[in-house]
Amino acid sequence: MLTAEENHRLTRVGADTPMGRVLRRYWLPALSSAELEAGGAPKAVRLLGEDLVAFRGADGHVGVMEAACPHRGASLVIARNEDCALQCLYHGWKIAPDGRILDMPAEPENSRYAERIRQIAYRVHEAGSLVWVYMGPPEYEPEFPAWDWTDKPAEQILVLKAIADCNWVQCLEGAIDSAHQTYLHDSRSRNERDLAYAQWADEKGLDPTDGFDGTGQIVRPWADGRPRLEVEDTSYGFWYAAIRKPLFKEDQFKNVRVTHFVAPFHAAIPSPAGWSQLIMHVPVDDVTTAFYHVRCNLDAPYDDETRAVHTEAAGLVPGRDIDGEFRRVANKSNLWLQDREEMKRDRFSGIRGTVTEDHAVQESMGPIYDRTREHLATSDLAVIRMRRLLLQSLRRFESGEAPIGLTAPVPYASIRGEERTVPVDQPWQTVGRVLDETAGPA
Amino acid sequence: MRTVPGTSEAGQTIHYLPEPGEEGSVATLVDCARALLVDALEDGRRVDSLMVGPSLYAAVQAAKRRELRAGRPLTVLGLHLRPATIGHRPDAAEEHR
Repeated sequence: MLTAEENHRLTRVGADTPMGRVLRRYWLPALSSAELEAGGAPKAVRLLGEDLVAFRGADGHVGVMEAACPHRGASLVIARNEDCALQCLYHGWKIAPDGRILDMPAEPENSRYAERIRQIAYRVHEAGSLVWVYMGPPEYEPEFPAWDWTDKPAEQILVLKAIADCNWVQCLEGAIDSAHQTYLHDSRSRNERDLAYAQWADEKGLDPTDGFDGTGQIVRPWADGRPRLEVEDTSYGFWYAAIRKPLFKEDQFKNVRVTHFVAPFHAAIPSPAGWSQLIMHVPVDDVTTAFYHVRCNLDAPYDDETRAVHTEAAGLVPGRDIDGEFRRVANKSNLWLQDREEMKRDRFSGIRGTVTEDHAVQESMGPIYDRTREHLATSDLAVIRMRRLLLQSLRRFESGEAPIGLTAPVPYASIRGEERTVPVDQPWQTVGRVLDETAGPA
Repeated sequence: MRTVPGTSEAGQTIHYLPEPGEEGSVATLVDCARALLVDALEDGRRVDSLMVGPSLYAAVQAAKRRELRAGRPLTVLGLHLRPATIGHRPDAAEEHR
């Protein structure tokens, strides 16, 4: 639980709030690169409660700026994309990606007014099939978070995106909550598949599984609904393990699922060898969150079949599950298309797709969950630690220190979640280790 | 934080002493209490209450006003919350075990 004040401080992201000021100190994903066509239509972007417009000039460069024209506030989302700048439809003001006013065609020819005005425009960095922005004070711009996939070409990356109609913290809490795996995402067919896979691996004398099948989908060689949870803090968040009894040979092995929380909103969940995946919950505003799940084949392009399997598993098939604005067809208004017959037949939730399952429970908690009303349990270890660290970071920030993760270099490229079945006496810290010891887990 | 296990008639009490600067943080209280509770459970000890300083007690009381109005007990992580009395020393509780 939190007090009402703590809950307020943790969840609100506007520019005049403590957390809003903290979040503006990090690089934030604003949209996926594929959403912008060179010389094409600008795109409305809402981030941390600010209405922005993103566009890609004919030269390929991306600009992200306040959506309202500095003249009289007409939206630049409907502006012309001309000469690598946006031209407002109302009076033709032309604005460069960096916010300079290039032209005020309705003003006298010798006017120098344009030199005295500047649109609010943010620093942009395009990497890993995403457009990132920095919205904070220029003097505090941090190093760009160079994950192991941000330098990979688009054909090796799958960006799954969906909008959740609730506050970012309750979404983030879901990403660092291993205990819900055995309930929300459970299904009879999956259990049967996992058991068959584990038995097959055992018969072949293989590693009792690294937790993934040939397509990189998680195979759970366990059905233990009471994981033992352990956590260790890092300079940028924490890493934690959910330790479970495996489906067989539980006297010899244990299953360890390691997730890294990297402030402020990243969860590096387990990936098979040669792959990387990261979940980010980016606050759109106080009551809306952009969910990004980036999956990257680190060695080769994604093949069509694997891309389809991963998209299907998430339940985020464009046109079927989500619309062009990444809004889910299954939503609160239709009870997330829950199928009670399916609940009897196979899936615990009766809801199709893991992301929709996650969003269903998170949205069902209300726009901003009132954490004075909850009853936390011992299985909420990571959720409890995350709140503590972010609130501590807020207090330190207000006393003049840098927010968590910005005090020392973060070894982003070495942070990767992992799930393995290991001998019972092997420390869990041998799984999912950060390779760069200088700033990794203590 | 320092903790000392004490006793009550039904089970043990966790005493929570916050680090300087953390006196008002319920988020930190819950995190520390959780770790102590798990340790106790793993040791086979029965814990049923949590003792905190007056300001934290008041903070939780204010947050849980609805439950109190409904006649529910004041709990954190299922542990009954108890206010430490002025002058209370956890080591004194230890002596009474």
